[in-house]
Amino acid sequence: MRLELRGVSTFYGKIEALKGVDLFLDEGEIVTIIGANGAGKTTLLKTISGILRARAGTINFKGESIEAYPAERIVRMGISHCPEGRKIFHALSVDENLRLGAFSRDNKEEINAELEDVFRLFPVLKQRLKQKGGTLSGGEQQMLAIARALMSKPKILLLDEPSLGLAPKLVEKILFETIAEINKEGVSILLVEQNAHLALQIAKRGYVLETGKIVLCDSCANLIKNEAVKSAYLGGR
Amino acid sequence: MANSAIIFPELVNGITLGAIYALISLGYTMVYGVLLMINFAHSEIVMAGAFFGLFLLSFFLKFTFFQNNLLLLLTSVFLLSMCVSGILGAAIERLAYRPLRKTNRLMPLISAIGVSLFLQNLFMLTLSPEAKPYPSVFPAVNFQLGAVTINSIQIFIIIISILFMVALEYFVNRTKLGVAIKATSSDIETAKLMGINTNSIISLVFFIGAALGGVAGILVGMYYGSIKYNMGFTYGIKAFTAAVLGGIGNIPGAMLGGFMLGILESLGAAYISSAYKDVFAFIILILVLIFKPTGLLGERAQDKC
Ligand SMILES: Nc1ncnc2c1ncn2[C@@H]1O[C@H](COP(=O)(O)OP(=O)(O)O)[C@@H](O)[C@H]1O
Ligand SMILES: [Mg+2]
Repeated sequence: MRLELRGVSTFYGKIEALKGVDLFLDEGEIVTIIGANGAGKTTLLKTISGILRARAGTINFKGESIEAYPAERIVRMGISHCPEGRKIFHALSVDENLRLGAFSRDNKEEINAELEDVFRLFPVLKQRLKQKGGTLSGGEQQMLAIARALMSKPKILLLDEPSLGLAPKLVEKILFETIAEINKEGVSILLVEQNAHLALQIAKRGYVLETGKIVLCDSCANLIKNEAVKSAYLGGR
Repeated sequence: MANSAIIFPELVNGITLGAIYALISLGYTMVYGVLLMINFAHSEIVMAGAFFGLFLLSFFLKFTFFQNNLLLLLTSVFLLSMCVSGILGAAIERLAYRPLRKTNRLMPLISAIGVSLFLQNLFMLTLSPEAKPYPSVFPAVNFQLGAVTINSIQIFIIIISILFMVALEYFVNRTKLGVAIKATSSDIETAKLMGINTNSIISLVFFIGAALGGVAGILVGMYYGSIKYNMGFTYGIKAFTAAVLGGIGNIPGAMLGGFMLGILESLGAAYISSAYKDVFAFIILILVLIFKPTGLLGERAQDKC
């Protein structure tokens, strides 16, 4: 159940934001994509989840070429995208947000069981069920966003900058532990992070994206030692 | 100075018209919610719905069975014409707006005006440039509630409108599809990530808006006893005002705006002059746009972030 991109290019009008990206994610892996602001990380995830269309290249999953599939079909295939900036439905309750995450599923009992599963990961959400999404704190909203993405029972979770705007303590303790736990339960994770330190610790392999191109691809152990990566993404230490 | 003898009939008339404006404004507001587009062809759906209702009424009234069973007659006419109007609304979106969605925002608007002109001319040429009489299916009986006189048709219009609004509120807030509509209105891209087929939701929104607009058209026909190919414009502009007044994109806002506009119009007619009745809607529209562009219940700016 490998997800594999070959030569994927995505455009905004005439601007080529992804320039022939090759990348794969094996079953059970956590893989991280690091890169400066504007490198194309979000564009890459949106292209995989079908929000944006690749103009060239192929995306393979479960033996199918999914690059032309509409977003809702990709969710049904088991790829869930937790977007940058959380994108909680502010006017809807936590409960409604979570159930929207399970929109592609019909079995009520399974959905309720899934709810219990995400409450185990994020107990605080259970106390907030009737509250509007917009009234949650930043950290709680991020938990809700991840929980909502899990409600479709994905094989693959695409996580776009989950630590954005959160207190560092919260990030290390809760967020990254939870990501590791979700992975242990069998969900492969493609993690886009500005916090390269943590991302390289939690992931097995990593890609470095620069202006739409993959310039490096290695095990995280090697990336952490790489001089170029150190100076550009790890604060030069 | 106006006295209650003038105010009460105007007020009852205002509430009745307000109910009709509210029904129509739901179509504007829901479509704006999902596409951020003003569907200028909506007023012609109201007109078309009135004609669909007319055909169905005339047809069913040929059968003694329906003549003797008012409830069944009305149910059949309303449900069937709602389906036809709904399909027309969804088809307009599919054929005239969707192909233009990726272009700039002005294109669908121009297309909507084109559809509007097309429908008006179609109905004028194929049916009649003259007003058509609407069959009266039940007698206009006056009821006296204290100082207020209200007739059976007014009661019928108010009840039918409220019924559909309650049903819509239930659907939007209590069903999976309804919540998907709200999600699509607040953030279409994230709605897609939830696995929602947003194109189907958009079709559904056009269907519902047009079905309700079609109902409003029939109610107008019943109220005034005649309909005409160009009747949509006045109702369209007033219902649009109602939607802006309530906060465009907001469903309860459209309902509130409709009734408020109807009532304000009637008070204006009673206190100032009924000759200026149609001007009040425009004055209100301009005042709202200047002083509170988000409308009474509008909160789209917060909603979106
Ligand atoms: N909607 C858009 N329209 C045009 N250009 C965009 C749009 N979104 C992103 N871009 C451009 O594409 C490039 C990649 O952006 P993005 O994928 O958001 O980068 P990252 O997530 O790595 O910060 C940037 O140069 C950005 O300016
Ligand atoms: Mg980004």
